[in-house]
Formats: sequence, structure tokens, C-alpha cells
Amino acid sequence: MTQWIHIEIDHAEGSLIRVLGLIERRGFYIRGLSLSTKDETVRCLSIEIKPRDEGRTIATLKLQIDRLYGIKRVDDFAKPSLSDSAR
Amino acid sequence: MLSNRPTGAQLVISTLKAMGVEVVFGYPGGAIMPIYDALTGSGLTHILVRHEQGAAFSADAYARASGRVGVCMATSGPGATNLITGIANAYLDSVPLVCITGQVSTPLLGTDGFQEVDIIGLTLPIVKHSWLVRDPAQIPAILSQAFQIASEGKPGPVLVDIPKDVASAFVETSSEAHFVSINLAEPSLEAIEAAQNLFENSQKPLLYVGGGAEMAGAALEVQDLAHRLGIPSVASLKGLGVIPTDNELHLGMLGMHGTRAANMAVQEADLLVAIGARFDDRATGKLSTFAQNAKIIHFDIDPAEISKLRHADVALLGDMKPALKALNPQMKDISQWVQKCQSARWAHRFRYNAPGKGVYAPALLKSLSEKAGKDFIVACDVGQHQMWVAQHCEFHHARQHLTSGGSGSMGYGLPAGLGAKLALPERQVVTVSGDGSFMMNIQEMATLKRYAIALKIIVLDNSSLGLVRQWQELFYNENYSEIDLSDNPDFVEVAKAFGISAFRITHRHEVEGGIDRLLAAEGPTLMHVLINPKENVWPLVPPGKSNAEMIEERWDDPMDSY
Repeated sequence: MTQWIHIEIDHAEGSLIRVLGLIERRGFYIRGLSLSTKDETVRCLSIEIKPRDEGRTIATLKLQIDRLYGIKRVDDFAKPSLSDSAR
Repeated sequence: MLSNRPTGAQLVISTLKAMGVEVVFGYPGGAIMPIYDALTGSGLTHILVRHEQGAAFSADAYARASGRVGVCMATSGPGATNLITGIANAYLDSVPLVCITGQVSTPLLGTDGFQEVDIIGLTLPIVKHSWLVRDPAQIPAILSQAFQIASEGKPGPVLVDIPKDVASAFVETSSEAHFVSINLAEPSLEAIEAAQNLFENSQKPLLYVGGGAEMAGAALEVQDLAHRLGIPSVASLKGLGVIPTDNELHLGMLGMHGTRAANMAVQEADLLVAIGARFDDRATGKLSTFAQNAKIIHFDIDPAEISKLRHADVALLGDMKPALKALNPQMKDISQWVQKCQSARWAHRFRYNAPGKGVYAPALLKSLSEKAGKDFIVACDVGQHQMWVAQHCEFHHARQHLTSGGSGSMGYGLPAGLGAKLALPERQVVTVSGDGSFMMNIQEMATLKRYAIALKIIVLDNSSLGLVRQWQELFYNENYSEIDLSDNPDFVEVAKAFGISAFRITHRHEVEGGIDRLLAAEGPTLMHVLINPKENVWPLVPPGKSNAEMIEERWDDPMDSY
């Protein structure tokens, strides 16, 4: 089952690749994503992900993303919210 | 004294000093030359290693032994990539490390310039954070933040990549270094009460102590809890020594090469209290069968570790010290359980009366541990000897056992011993290596000689990659593939060529005298020990099996006694 994860992150060099790389490394497919800018300092990422096996949980992934420096917020949704992803 | 317009490189050096750094391990090169130029006369002690991997490992061990942040630096390209194994090692074992790399000048970034490598990209999975510095004025702010991130919470390595033009540029007004001590969150009262309830309903409680307990500075609180409640304990490889291994309620290391007493206690426990441990696969064996009867209490600083591999019934997140102190459950009578654990500890104790007259490595290491004293530091390499050290040496605190746990990096032992001896020069420091591992950073004997670092080295030589050979014997139908090292150089002669005193022992009767001679030596000294190439590490949990399925070899009627 695919899920969407919504991330707000500092607008810093390398921040996107940090997040996307972590999601891949921790065992999730990235099936789609959208990127927007919340303000001059924060970016918003909405990413459609699917675990590669049953051992991977969104709950753990969220904590692993949250551990990155520069992460402002991490939420997960069953479906994307346009208003969320476009904020 | 900084000029009114310092360079970026001078700001690097002044910030390192402001962070309290005394020793830096490194190797110069083109892109980092401005920083090495600023280093001269700075008062910082720079240890010139002979390979950048040695710098990272030495800085790692300096940090592990001292509890401070380790610092290493290298130039761009190959210098930076040579640090990578050391950075991964620090990441997997949660060691605070600040790595500074030179980089090509900013106009050359992304042009495949000479010695240009995207070290930020290459190390993303193995650092807590990293920075490519584009503004030299930001160097104090970034470097001080690097120290803070490396050491706060769950420690780990960080990387600061500084292009040559940034290091060379003059700065009119720089940022300031800030290091803010953070107050750790404490576990909630609700969680402590829930944990207390689990303790009070348990008849077979067991502590599972990991390296995080020492990193949290909570060793005394863990010992106190174990003592107050009278609960048996097991330890992970990195948790050895948090509770002294000679404590009568300590059952030894759990996992693949753990003791039978430890593994069977885990399997039978009805409450497993993980303290700064992360349920690593080498500790758990087949995860679905691990501690099947137990509820889990998990103390950790890192929320991402909770229920990552094993569901925690109660999570105690944050500073574990106050929670450990606060726990004061009214325990049931667990005397039968304790007695059973202690009986198993005695029944399955290690035996040292191996047949034969050759050197029996476990007995040698036991003797080393007894002779070197309670405070000696051992830096291991990776392989059979590493497991023998964990099994047969006694540890009274975790920082005396420096071992590459998570990454299992061969080549760690020599530079690690070097770094530990520099951190704590008054302590007896011994590197225990194997013939395979020792060759991976053998060049660091030159560093020992240059700085007259009185590290003692034991090379246990079985002329093969022993642990690989053991697995090939047991699990690959004795198909010995590429493990023969019988053409090793003469390690005594090699050491002497580096200016290091060295001698060899080959028979059992030479062990005691050899250890005495090694420990009494004033300068760096190597003892080369020939051991039986067919010796295996026992016990062993076969890969993919439950810890309950461990196999071991015993000899009840030795051909001749030890």
C-alpha cells in the first residue's frame, strides 16, 4: 500500500537529497513527489512511498526522517492533500 | 592571536581551539593546504598518520577512550574518500567525530576538477550532518555547531567540507562560535510507572545493556539498578564493562558469540530491559525467536531506535539517568531465577585447558587481562581475536574496550590503540590484532615510532582470515576460498624495520613471560604470537538461527593440561 509523507525542511543546500536518500536507504520506494516553498526558509515535500517489504514501517521512517537536522515537521497521510503539498 | 582579517583557515584553527580541541589526526594535501598553513604554531597537536583511514580510526578511539569529540582532517578527493570507512565506523558505533575535509575551490565544484570528489554526497548515509562551507565568515558558527551535533543526543560523526578558496579568503566580520549545552528530555512519569509495573509483575527479569548506557554517562546508575533489584544482566559487544564483567550477576555477552548462560537467560526471561541497546542482528540472532517470552522495556536517547526491530512495551526516552534512579519497584521473589542464571554462568564458564602445547589464544587473553590491571585499555581489530577479547578479558568500564562493533572494520586496532594512548597516555593500552587485520593499517607503526607512542601490540597470527575460514568450515562445506595468509611477512622484522621493538612467541610455556615482557616494555612494542590456524571461536550461533541453537566445542578430557 502506498502512503504519502509530508515533510517541511530548511531551505538548505543538500536538504532534499538528504531526505530522499534516507527514504530509499531505509527500504521504501519513492513513487512520486511534489515540492513547494512555504517561505524563504522552508520547503515542503509531499512524497508517495511504498515499503519494499513488510518489515518497514512508516512510524519508524518518520522518526528517522525527524532525526535529520533541518526537519521542521513530518506527517503521514493515506492520500495527499493538495492544500498540504502546496502550502 | 588572530589578525583583524583572519582567513577562513585561521578561523578553522581558532574555532577548534575554542572548542577545547588539543589533538587532531590528519594528513595534508592540495586542497587543505591553507588549513595546514594556519596550523603551524597554533598550539594544536597534529598527529601525522600515514593513511587517512588511520586518522579517522585514531580520532574515533581518542573519542571513545576519553569521552571527548575526536577530530580528523584530510584533503579533497582520495584524502576524503580514505576517511570514509572511519566515518562509517563512527556512525555505526555512535562515536562523536568532527571530520574536516579540504575541497577544490568553489568555481571548480562540479567540473570534475583535480581531486574533486563530492564527499558530502558520498557520506550522506553515514553522518549525522554535514556542511559544504561557502562563506568563510560562517566557519566559527558551522564548526561549533558541528561539535554540538556530533556530541549531543545519540553521538556520531559530522563532516565539514571547506573549499580551498573559502579557506584562503580573508574575513572582515566572522560569525561566532556557539556551543549550547542542551537539557535532555527526561522519560515521562507515566512511562516510569509503566516500567515499574512490568518489573513488579516479572519473575524472570533480565537487563540487556548496550553501549548507549556508557555514552549516556549512566554506568553507575545501571550498576546501582542491577544491584538494588538483584537482577541478572547480559551485555552487547559494546555494552561490556558497563556492569563489570566479573560481577556475579553478569552473565556475559549475548548473541552470535555470546555465552550460553547469557543467551539462554534471554530466551527464558519474562522481562528484558534494554538499556542503550539497539537489538542488532549479531545480538538477537533470528529476531522472531529472540526473547519470545519477554516483555520489553527500552531505555534510549533516540526515538528512532524504539520499536525499530522489536516492539517495546514501555519506552523510556531521553536522559536515562534520572529514570534509572527513579525506578524502585517492589520485586517478587526472583531468587530461583537468579540462582538458575548463576548456576548456568558457572556450568557454562569458559575452559582454558585446551589440548596441545601451542598458544591457546583465549587463555593468553585471559592472562593479559589479569596482568594488565583493571584499567587497561584494549583496542581490537576485527575477527576471531576480537570475539576472544570480548569473551575472555574482564572489563570494569565500557571505555576500556575499543572495538569496531557495528561496522566490523578490519584495520581499526592499530590506529585505535594509537588514538587511545594519546588520549590517556598514563594508561596501559594494548592493541590486539590478527594477521589479516594488522596488515590493513600496518603503516601506522610509523606513527607510533615518530611520536614515541608506547602502545603495546599483540598480533595473533593464524596465517589466515580466521573467522572467514571458520564460517567456510562450518557453513560452506570446508570450501576454503581465499583465506590463506601463510605468506605473511615476518611481523617481527617488519616491526623492527619501523623502529618498533618486537619479539615472537610460539609455545604455550612462553605466554606468561611474553605478556610480562610486553607490558613492562617502555616504548611501542609488538608481540607476535603464532596460534593454531584451526582454532575456532566458540560458542557460535549459526547465521539466521535462534540464539537458543548455539553450538560449542568442549573438551572434557584434554590430551594434556594447560
